[in-house]
Amino acid sequence: MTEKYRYRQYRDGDAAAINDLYADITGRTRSLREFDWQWLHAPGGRGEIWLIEATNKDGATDLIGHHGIMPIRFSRGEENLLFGKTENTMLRPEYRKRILYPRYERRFARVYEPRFDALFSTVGPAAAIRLRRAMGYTFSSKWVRLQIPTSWAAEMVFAYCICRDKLVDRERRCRGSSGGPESGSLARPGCGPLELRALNDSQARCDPFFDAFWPQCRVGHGLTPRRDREDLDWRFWSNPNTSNITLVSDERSDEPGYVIIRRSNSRPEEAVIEDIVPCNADAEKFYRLLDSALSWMRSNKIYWAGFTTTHESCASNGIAAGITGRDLLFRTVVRKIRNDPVSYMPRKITATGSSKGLDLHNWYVTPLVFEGRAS
Amino acid sequence: MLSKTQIEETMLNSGMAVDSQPPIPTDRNFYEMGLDSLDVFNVFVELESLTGIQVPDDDLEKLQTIDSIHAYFAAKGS
Repeated sequence: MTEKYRYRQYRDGDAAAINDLYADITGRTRSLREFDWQWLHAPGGRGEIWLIEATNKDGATDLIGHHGIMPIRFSRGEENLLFGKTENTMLRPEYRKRILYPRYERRFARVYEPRFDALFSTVGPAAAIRLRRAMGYTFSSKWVRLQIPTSWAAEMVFAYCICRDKLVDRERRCRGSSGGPESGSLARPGCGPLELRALNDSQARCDPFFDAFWPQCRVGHGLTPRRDREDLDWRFWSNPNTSNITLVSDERSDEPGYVIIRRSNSRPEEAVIEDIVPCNADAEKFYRLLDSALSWMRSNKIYWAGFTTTHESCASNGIAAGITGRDLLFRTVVRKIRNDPVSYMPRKITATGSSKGLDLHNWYVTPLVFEGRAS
Repeated sequence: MLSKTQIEETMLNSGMAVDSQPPIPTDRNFYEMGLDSLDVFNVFVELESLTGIQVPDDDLEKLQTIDSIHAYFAAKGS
């Protein structure tokens, strides 16, 4: 044996070596600014950064492994929660048969788990999935990745989903075309797209819409990431990796909501819906907001909108239920982004979260929970 | 005392996909048999539980065959 292994937590000055490890293993470069943003300055506090080092017989020490947990603030109604997202779990290939990485993560987890109510991961290679299982994560929530053609889906979504059961009603009320006692009720709330304002990141960062949005709306939402201004600012508007367009409902609207989209640099006719939140956690409100965003995109020459969420029954907040409950529709108007095999969002409720009665299910998840790196 | 058979049984019971039929060659490196570090981790979790002996991280690198594991635990008194 020529080397000794030890582990420790992050210290100031480690960032450059971590970025080098990250580049060697993933092939991606990350600047110190991006590191600071991702790991040190999140609203949930500094990330959990654990390092494994090898010291050779000459006393030289190399960073050979890293395991991180990004703190993501969640809420359940008025209750604040802190979740952790596993990120950058990596070990230099030449050490994968020399140390037992899972041993290290178990030790790290013993230290960091009490800080978090739940842990989750997004997706990863088969080996990462096996590791998550071994660490006690549950695989029951499937990812759903949709790509929605804005050019004609929006009207179908609106007509078929929102007013699905009352299509005739909608014709009468919204268009006044069928006569009868309700004819001409054009002002009926819930008809037609919302007026949306488009903000760039600088504008969104200061827009008064977000002063009150989440403080007022969170009570109606179940388990979901927090959307206070500082959460959105960190994840989107001050994110050094991306630039976004934030669509907010008009201040006169009785259905406040916002949608954050990121337009593809290489294919400007495509965009990703990074987050979409109506104030009222309700499937109809969700679809009206989605419809409005699709309409905005269409008029701005964006013809495909990608959206990722999880396929789970979300009776507690209604939003994901709205999407998953209408699979029949989506099968006809969307195509899956990839023909991947089924992938799951691994989740683990910690002892801290268990004491609060947290559930593995009924989360409303959007790409807000992703790493935040431009893909 | 921990026997080679017990080590082999621990490997097979851990559910790992060993690309050798039992009996597992006692001098064959685990990783050459297609195991990964998670498989080996699970084996050591079981062996440590069975013997009550904790194997330091720095010793694991040399414990990659049934023979070497057997000799190691024997030297530790198990």
